[in-house]
Amino acid sequence: MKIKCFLFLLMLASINQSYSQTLKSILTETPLKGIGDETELSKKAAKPMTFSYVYSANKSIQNLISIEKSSIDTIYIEKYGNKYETTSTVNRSSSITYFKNFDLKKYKVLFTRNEKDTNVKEILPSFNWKLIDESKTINGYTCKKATTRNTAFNSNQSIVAWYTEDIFINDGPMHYNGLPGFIIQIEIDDNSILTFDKLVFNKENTAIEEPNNSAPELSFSDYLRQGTK
Amino acid sequence: MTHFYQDISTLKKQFLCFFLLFAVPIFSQNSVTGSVLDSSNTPISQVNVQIKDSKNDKIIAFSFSDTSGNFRLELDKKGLYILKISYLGLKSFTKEIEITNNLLDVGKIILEENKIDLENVIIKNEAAGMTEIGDTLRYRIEKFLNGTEETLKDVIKKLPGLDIDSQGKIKANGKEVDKLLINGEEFFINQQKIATENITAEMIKNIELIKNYTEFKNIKKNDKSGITALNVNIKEQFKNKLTGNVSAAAGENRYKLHATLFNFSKKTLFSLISDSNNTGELSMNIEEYTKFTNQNEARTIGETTFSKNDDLPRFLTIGNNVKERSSYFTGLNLKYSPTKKTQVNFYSIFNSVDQVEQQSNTQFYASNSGVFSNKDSRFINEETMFTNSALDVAYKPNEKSLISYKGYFSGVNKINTVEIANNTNQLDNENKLTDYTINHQLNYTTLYKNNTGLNISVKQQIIKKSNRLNIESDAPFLNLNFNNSTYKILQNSQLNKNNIDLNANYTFSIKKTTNAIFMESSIRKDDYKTTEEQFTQFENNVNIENKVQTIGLQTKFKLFEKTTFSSALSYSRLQFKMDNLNKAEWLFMPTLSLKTDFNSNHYIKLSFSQNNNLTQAENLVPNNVISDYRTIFSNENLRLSTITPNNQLAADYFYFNNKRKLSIISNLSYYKATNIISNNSSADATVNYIQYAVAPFENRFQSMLYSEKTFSFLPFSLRASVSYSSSSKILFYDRLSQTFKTESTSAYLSFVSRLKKTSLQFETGVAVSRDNYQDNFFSNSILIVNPFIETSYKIASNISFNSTFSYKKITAATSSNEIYMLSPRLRLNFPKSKFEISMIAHDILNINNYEQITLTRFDNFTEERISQSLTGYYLLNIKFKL
Repeated sequence: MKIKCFLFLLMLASINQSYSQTLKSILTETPLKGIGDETELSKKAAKPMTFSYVYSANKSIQNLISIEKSSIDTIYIEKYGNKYETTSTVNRSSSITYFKNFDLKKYKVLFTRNEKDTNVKEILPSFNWKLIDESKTINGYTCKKATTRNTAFNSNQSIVAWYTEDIFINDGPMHYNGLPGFIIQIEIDDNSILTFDKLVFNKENTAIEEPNNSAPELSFSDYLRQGTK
Repeated sequence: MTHFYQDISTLKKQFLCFFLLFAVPIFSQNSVTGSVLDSSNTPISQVNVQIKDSKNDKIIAFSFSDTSGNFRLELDKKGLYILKISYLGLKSFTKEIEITNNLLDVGKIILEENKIDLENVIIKNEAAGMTEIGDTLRYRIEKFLNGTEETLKDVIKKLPGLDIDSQGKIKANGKEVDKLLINGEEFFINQQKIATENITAEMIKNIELIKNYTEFKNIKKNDKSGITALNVNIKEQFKNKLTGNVSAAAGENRYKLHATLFNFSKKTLFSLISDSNNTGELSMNIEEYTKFTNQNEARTIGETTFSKNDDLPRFLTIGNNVKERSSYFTGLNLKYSPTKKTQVNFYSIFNSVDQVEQQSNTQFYASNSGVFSNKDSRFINEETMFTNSALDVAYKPNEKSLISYKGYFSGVNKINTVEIANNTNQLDNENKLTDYTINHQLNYTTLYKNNTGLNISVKQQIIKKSNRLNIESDAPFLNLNFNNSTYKILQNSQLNKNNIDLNANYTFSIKKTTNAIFMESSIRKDDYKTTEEQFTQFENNVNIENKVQTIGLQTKFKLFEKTTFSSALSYSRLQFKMDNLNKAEWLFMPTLSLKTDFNSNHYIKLSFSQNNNLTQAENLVPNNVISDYRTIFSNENLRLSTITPNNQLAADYFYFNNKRKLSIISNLSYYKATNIISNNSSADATVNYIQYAVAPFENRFQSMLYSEKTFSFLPFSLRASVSYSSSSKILFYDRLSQTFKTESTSAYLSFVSRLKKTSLQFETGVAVSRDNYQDNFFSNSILIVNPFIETSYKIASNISFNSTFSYKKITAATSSNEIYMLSPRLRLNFPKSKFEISMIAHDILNINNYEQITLTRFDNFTEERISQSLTGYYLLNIKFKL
C-alpha cells in the first residue's frame, strides 16, 4: 500500500514536472533622483543596483547581486571664504531579498544594512491597477502600460508599470504583481526605474526555498515599532 | 424629540435598504466563473484569466485563479467577449464567450501542455537586433537598414539569414520560405516576387521568421507543421486606410508605369498592383507561373509529363535574350476574415507579354555517320496572355472542425510566330496555344476525442489544351511529299484531362504513436488528339482511363528521446484502360524517415521513399506528331502500363545558432529510377525524329552546403554555399544506347557589410558555376565566373544611391563571352512632400544592342545560340505617394 502511495505521489510529481518552468532574469534598479530637499543624486547614490530574479511554481525570489555597502564621504565646501567639512552618507543594504509565494499570498523582505539583519513578513500586497491603452517595446517585448498608487508599507507613490502579455506570469519587481502579464518595468514616481533584462526560460522547475536570516521574522508594523525604539 | 430623530434615522436606513434592494439588480455586475485544471485534473493556481473585447483585443477584466483553480471576473456590460486563460509552460486557452445572464459559468477548463521546445524559448540578442521567442525570430529591421531601401526586397536582402534568390523567392537560412504573411495573415499567395517588389520599405514595422507556422486551416495543434513563414508587420500609420503609390518613368524609347494600392485593416487585406512597361522587366517568374498553373496537392502517385518545354511561355524561359519586350500586368489580392471562424482569400492576375527575338542558331547533331550541324536564323514574335484566379474559403464552425473550398482557374493564350531561314528553306512557323485549367476541391476535417480525427476531400481537375501549328515554306521540309507544291502543314492537337479524386484520412493515436489510415480513389481520363489537313500519319487519338485505389498507413513515434521515426506505407491498385486494353497492377510505395532533433534549431533527417511514375496520353501516340519545321515526335515502345519506379534517399542537416550567429544547412539526395521514359532519336539534314522509348535507368545526385556567419569582431556577415550535382541517363541514338552524363558545380561566397556607424552598406562576392555534359559523341562545359558588388549609400537625409556592378565571364569549349553590367540608381525624397524622383540607369554599359551566346543541350543535339539581348536604358521616374 505504501509503495502504491509512493508510486502515486511519484506519478503526481512527474506530471507536475511536465509543464514546469523557470524564468530567470536580471533586474536593474536605476535611481533617478533623491527624495527630499536635495534631489540631485551624487554619483555614488545614483549607481544602479542589480538583482537576480527567479520565478518558478508560483514563487519568486529577487536577490541583490551587485556589491553594495554604505559609505561616508567627507566633502569640503567653501562658503564665505571658509572651508566647511561636510559628510555625505549613502546608506545601502549589502544584501536584499524579496520573496513572494503566490499560493500562500506571502511576501518577505530580508536585508542587511550596516551589518544588521532584518526579516519582514507580510501578506502579499495587491494593487488596484488601471490598464492604459498605451504600449512600447522594452528589451524586445511589447509592453502595455498600467498605473496604480502604491500605498503598501506606509508609502504613497504613483506607479507606472509596463507589462507584457507575452509572458503569462503575474509577477514583477519587488512587491509589485497582479497584472495580466509579466511586469518588465516599474517607474516609481520619477525617482527610480526598475527594469528586467536578459530573460531566460528553462524547462525544469527550480526549487525556491523561503529565505531567512539571523533576524527574527517581524510583521511590518512590528518592524516599524522596533525602529522607533 | 430624540425618539423622533431615532425614528427618522431608522426610516432613513430602511429607505436606504429599500433602495439598495433595487440597486442590486440595476447596477448588477455580470460575473464569469470557472476553474482551471491541468491535463492530470489537478487545479492550477495563479493562472492568468483575461476577458478581452472581441473587437479590439483590449483587456476588459482580468484575474487569477486561486489555489483550488477557481476564478471569478466581474464585467459591467453584457455582450460578446474573448476569454483567454494562460499559464507559463501550458498552452493558452482562448474562447469566445457571450454574456447574457448575470452569471456565466464556463466550467472546467483543461490547459494542455505546451509543445514548444522550451530550452530555446527566448533568446535575446539585443545587440544583434534579433529576438527569438519560441519558433519566432523577430528582426528589428532598423538595426540592419541604412535608409536606402525602397522595397521589401531590399529590406529582406539586408537581414541576416534571409535572402532573395534570382527568381524572386525568399530564402531563410538557405531554405525557401513557404508562406508570406502580412500582419500575421496569409496574403500574396504564390506571389512572393510581386509582394517583395511592391511593398515599400517605409511601410514595414518589423519582420518575423516563423518556423512552425500554424495555418488557419490547421486544426491539429499538437504537431509541428514544419512550415516556415515570413511575417511582415505593417506600421500603424499604413493600416486601416488606402495607401500606395503611382509612378511613371520615361526614357529614350522606354517607359514604365506602375501603380500599387493597399488597404490593410483588421478584417480585410487588399492590394492592387498594376504595371506596364517596355523595358523588358517581368512581373512574374517561371516558378510563380508553374505554381499558378499547377496547384496540385501532393499525390500518392507521381506523374511525369514529358514536357517539351514549349508549353511554357517563352518569356519565362528565355531570360533577357530578347530584342524587345513589353509587358502589362494587373494583380488583385483580397483577404477577408469576417469572423474569427471564417477566412476568404481571393486573387486574380492578368499578364500579357509581347516579345521579339532575333537569333542565329547552330544545332550540332550526332548520328552514326558522325556529327553534322544545321544552321538557321530566326525571328520570333510571341504574344502571351495569361490569367489566373483563385478563391479559397475556409470555415471553422468550432475549434475542432474545418470546412474549406478551394477553386482556381487559369488560362493561357499564346501566339508564337517564327520566321526561319536555313540553307534550303524559308519558313513561317506559327503556334497558337490555348490552355485552360479548372481545379476545385472541397475538404472537411474534424477532430474527435483522444486525438482521433477524420479528413475527407474531393477534388476535380479539368485541363483543356489545344494547339494549332501552321508551317508554311517555300520548299519541301520534314521529308514529306507535299501536293501541288504548296508546302504547308496545319496540325491541330487537343489534350483533355479530367481527374476526380476522393480521399479519406483517419488519424488516431495508440500509446505514444500517431497513426493515420488513408484511402484514395481516383479516376483519370486523358485524351489526346491530333489531326493534320494533308497527311494521315499525323493523326492520333489516344483515350486512356486510369483508376487508382490506394490504401495506406502512416505511423509516427519517438524512437528515442530526441529521435522521431515516421513511415507511410501505401498499396495502390491501378487499372489501366486504353482502347480495348485492360490491365491491372499492384504497387507498393513506402516512405520512411528518421529525424533527430538536438534542439529546435539543430536537426538531422534521413529519409527514403519509393514512388512510381506513370505514362501520359501525349507519350502514347500511335502515329507521329510534328513539333516544329524539323522535329517529329512518335512513340517507340512506351505502353500504357509502363511504370517507372524510383527510389529517393535524402539526408538533411540544419543548424542555426542565434548567439553564435551561425547557420549551416546541408542536403544530400540520391535518386534512382529504372525503366524510365527516355527517347531514341535519329537525325538527318532535314528531320530530327524523336521517339519516346523506355530506357534502363536514370540517376541523379545532388548535394548542397550553405553557411552564413556574422562575425562579432568584424562588421561583416559571410555567406557561402557550395553545391554539386550529377546525373546520368540512358538515351538512344539510332537505337544505340548512350549514357548522357551531366555534372554541375557551383559555389557562392559573399560578404554583407554590417557597418554600424556609416550609412554605406554593401554586399560583394563571387559566384562561380561549372556545368559539364557528356555523351559518346559530345562533351562540353560552361564555366561562369561572376564577381559582383552591390552598394547602397545614403548621401544625405533625402538622397540615396544604389548601384550594382557585375562582371560575368562565360567560357565554353569553343567560345567565350564577357559581360560587364552596371546599374546605378539615385533616389531623391522631398521631405514633407508626397513626391519622389529617381534616376534609374539600367545596364548602361550595354546601351546599344548586343549579342549573347548561349549553349543549350536538347534531347539529341546541342544548340549554340547567338541572340540579340535586351539593352540598357536610362529612365527618369516620378513617384507619387498616396
